[in-house]
Amino acid sequence: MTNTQELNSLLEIAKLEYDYFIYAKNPEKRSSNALNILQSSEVKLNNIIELKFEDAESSKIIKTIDHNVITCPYRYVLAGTASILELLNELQFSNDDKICIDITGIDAPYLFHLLKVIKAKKMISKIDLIYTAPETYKKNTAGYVFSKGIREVKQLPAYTGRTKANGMKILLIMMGFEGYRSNEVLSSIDPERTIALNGFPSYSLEFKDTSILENKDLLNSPSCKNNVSLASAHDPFETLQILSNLPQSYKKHNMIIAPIGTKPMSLGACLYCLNDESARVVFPYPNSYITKNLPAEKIGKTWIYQLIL
Amino acid sequence: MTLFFKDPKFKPVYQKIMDLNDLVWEKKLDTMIIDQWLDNFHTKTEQYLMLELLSKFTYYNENEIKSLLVSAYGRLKNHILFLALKNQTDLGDLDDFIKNNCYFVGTWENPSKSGTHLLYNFRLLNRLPSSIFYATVKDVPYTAKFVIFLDDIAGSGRQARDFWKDRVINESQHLTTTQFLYLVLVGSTKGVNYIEQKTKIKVLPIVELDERYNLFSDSSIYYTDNKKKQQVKKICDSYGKKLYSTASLGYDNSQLLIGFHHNVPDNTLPIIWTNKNGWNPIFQRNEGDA
Amino acid sequence: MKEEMAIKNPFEEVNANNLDNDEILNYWIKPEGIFNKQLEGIKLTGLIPLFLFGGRGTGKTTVLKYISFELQQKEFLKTHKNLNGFLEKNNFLGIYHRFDGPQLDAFNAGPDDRKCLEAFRLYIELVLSQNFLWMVEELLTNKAISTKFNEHKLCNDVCELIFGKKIASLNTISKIRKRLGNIQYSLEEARDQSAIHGKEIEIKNVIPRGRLIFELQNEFSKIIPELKNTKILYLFDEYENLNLKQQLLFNTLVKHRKYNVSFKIGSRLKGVKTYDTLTTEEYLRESADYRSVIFEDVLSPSSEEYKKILIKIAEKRLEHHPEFYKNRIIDIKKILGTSISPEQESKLILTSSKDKFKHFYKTEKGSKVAINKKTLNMLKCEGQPLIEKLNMLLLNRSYSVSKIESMMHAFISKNKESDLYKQYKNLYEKNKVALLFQLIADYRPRDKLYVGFDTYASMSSGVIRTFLELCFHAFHLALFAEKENLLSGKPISIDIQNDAAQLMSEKYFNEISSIPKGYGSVVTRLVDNVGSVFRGLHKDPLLSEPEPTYFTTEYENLDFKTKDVLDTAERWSILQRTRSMKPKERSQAHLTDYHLNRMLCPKYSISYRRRGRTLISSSNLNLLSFGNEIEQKHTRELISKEKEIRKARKVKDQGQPKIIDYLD
Repeated sequence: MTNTQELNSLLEIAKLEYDYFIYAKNPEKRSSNALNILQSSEVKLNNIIELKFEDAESSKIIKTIDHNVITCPYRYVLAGTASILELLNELQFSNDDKICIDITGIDAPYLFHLLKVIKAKKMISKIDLIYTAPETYKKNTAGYVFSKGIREVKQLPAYTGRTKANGMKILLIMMGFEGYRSNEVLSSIDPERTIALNGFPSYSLEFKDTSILENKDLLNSPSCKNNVSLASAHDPFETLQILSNLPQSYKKHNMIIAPIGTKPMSLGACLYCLNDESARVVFPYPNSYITKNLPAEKIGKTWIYQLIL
Repeated sequence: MTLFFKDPKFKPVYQKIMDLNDLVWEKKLDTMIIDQWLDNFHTKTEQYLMLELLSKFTYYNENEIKSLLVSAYGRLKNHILFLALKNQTDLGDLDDFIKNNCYFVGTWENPSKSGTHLLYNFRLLNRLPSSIFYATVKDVPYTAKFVIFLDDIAGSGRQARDFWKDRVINESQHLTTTQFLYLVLVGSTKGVNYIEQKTKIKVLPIVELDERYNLFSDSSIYYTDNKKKQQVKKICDSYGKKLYSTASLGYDNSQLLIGFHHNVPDNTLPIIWTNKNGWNPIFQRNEGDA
Repeated sequence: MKEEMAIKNPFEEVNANNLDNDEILNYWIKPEGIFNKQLEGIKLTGLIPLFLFGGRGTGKTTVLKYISFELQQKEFLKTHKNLNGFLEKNNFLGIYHRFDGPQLDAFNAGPDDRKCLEAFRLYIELVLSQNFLWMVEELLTNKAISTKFNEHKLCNDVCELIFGKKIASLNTISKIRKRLGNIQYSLEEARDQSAIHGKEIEIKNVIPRGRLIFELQNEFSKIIPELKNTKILYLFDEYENLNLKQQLLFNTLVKHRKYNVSFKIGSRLKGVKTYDTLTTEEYLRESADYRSVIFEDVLSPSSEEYKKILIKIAEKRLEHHPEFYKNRIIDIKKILGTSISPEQESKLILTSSKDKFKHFYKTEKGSKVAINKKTLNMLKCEGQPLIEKLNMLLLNRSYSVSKIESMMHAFISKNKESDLYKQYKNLYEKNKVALLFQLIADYRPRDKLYVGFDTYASMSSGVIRTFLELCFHAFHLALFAEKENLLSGKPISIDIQNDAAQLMSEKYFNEISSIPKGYGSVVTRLVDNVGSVFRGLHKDPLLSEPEPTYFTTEYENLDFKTKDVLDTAERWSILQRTRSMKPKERSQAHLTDYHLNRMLCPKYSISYRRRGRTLISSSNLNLLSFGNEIEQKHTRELISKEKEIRKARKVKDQGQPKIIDYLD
């Protein structure tokens, strides 16, 4: 059963408790908002694991009194995920344990890999994921800047897909606010057909058309021709539904997914790929992420997604 | 060639309008329509400010309306699930529960209005049986757990309040255990609160508009520069008064800048949609929905 | 939606990867320069491997796809009921494959490089062999192969070849193809598993190198008579996406190609990282092992052949759109019109300005100095602002007012016998475009106009796709703002064409930052600095180098990092290398010329013609690429000033300074 609720509303009616709470803290206050809500609602969190994303070459586990910190290198997803599993092992994780992951600050490649590993290793079947949206975004002279440049467009590990030798490439790209990243994915893959997925309804009305305008080159590209599908920016199950309901004729070809939209949309794509191994997933790794003057401002709603993997 | 093409000051604004027109607004506009609309205004400054206003317009195209209708169903399901969690009830399959316990009713007086049309699309998109769609509340079976209304916009909330008072109360005497829900694609916070205060309807907006989306409110996201905001307000108000003296900035002073594929609500500034008194609208309203 | 508004832009699809097969055929224009190279020993469909080099959008993919089986089949079926006779007409079968960067990279990550390379090799061979088998099935179904043959025997032989034994259940070509597909899937699954468990990739089915792309084809040609003399051509696109090791692997296949199998490889300039093979002492040698064609050399932007191709391609596209076809609006030259002449443009500038005397001034120590009314009246020439501008230039070059006036009158009255006429005419013809740029600078915020077919053709820099994109933008704006004019056959207005050029230029520049692996920002920086230098030099009141549009440098003396940036810029067609100049002295290093991609000219409001050269030393290039803001600014100023120094020492050659002195 899929379920999307506002966290505050759910806390009013249900008693939550987790053996492991995993989150990624970054300069944005919303990255630790869920933790604050859970702690102030006296939700029992037996083990808190903080992920710290860095532009590093390796991963480290640092144990403190009240929680554990794992440094996760942006570009070395396998190393970072291995550390997470290592720590869970050390903490004697078992199949009956309850996990909650706040995906707000977690990099999309990590999200994809972590869920893949959890499912493949049959670690648990039920999992709660939380996401806090920003209330608004601010634009500077260069636009909405979350990252700098593109290092390369890479396939996510464990999402190789199953290539049909004679099939067309169909790119499904979740649009974000950084249009140049979609352009780079488009030119790197050069698909025969492109479907752009727009986060609609957006978090707030003022951004309803922002992704469209920021990605107009993609939308005007010959493989896309303004072929836009819509799925809620905050509800991953709508993205999952869109992907699941794609015409059968598409499934004869080679689907490539680029999750560069909102985090919930990326989650929806990930849930799809966990069930359909034929889809490839690619991601445009930036040279670096912005750590100051971030576009996302203030704290919007916090959602909880209760999944069965 | 049109004015705004030649003037470099207009370029960034018209480029945005062109892009929106191509990608979102279903190519509803062309240079002639824009020119004619701008001709309503007397000075170049007014024309520039109005063109800028136009670039901030929110238009829900056909694809987006369909998406909102699908999201509305999702919203309904999440709400019912929430209630079940709260009451610790097991609903079984949620879609089956809805098909057996929920009834959808057309809003307001006239079945030809936009609410009914939306309901039809809502049914098709979400693959619901026609047997759970009714024209009036009085026909809904007494076993109904939920009666759901659907409409595109709740601005002031008065229409819903009137409908409740004039029709629903009388027609729902037999529905003693039924909860009333109102799925609205775009709902202003003010309107939502009004409906919930004045009726027993629980409103579930898909897009919620607080004060920030009133063009000239203190917290307006459209204008951060107060001086400019007042200047634009003055223009809209003065021309609006000649068109609708009591609603120069939209019905109930809503000050909205929204339109849909099927129509423009009267909560939006009349200078956008009216063709009264020889005015050339930019997005014409179908007055059948007034 | 307004139905009458929805007229499709005829230039919507410009990327060959996005054209479906019908569209490629519909829009196909045979580039004779590429196909007719037999005299040079280059045959596009011959057995000698061929490298097709060219920047993005030059047409490599279109050519490769055109000779692929899918398209050749389609073209044949336009005039035939089935494929009977296909192999007699076409004695080759092309299997197209594009190397997708991210997919290649997936086989690059793992603890053991050798295993990764082996997995990659097997994967590609499995994909290619499936395509070959699919093609044979199509030939059989569509009667290209009519001779009866023993399919069971063939399949047995193939199974022995691939799996080392006969497999009874694989008794049809289709079943073998599906089995290969399953092996490929299991390889991909192994790849996923290795990522999940952090282990090495496990390769279960080992098929020796080359078996699936040489021996397999040979088995078929032994048994099926129609295939006996048919060449199998692997058409590899985007070779530059392979890493070094992967290219070593493929180079080995090219070097040791067998039977009737060969390779046609599309790559960007400098996209081939190595010509070595996996065998240490062996490498690919041009002429012996392969030939190469450089598209930019064949399709030079100023060549008439290139323009003809553009006109034909545009015509085909317009013909396919009923709104344009029915009114016979199919000549892109007419739709874009002729390029506006410098004289016409200069008149437009003055017409749109209230003050028509802004260009009357002298320059002293870098500042503008007004000239007196008497001088102005003597040097004025009504309706001829470029002549007036030339007069100002001569004034700055210390010509006397009376001499200038005499020269001008001789020119205007066309007194061809007079030396003054000849001298003035020479100066005018050589400098009028440069003077136009100066005039534009005088009447800011006016910009240079980039309009007309010839201008669009030149700006496209030999890249057909760029020309088509320019047309797309021009039509896009015209369909919005002047649709009726366009559909009634009137040319697209100057303003719209210029808007399209500016838009395209800005877009082109913005795309530079997307060059991956961190090069985007550095190349952007270098290009912006060079563009700014050229823009500044265009405004040089003394016109020491009219229209400086390219730079030269000692490539061999560049440090590794700067070389890398230049090579990347060249690979992405941001800079275009032109023929190197031989050094005057033996001790001097070779000079290499680089032209900014002409599509960037509108952004910097500079000329797109190949005129004036600017020397940028290796150290200065390094600073323009990697220096901080202050260093970059200082270097830009220095480069501009160096031109001043050279001017003082220059040797005049028909009014053009020589660069050589600086190197003494």
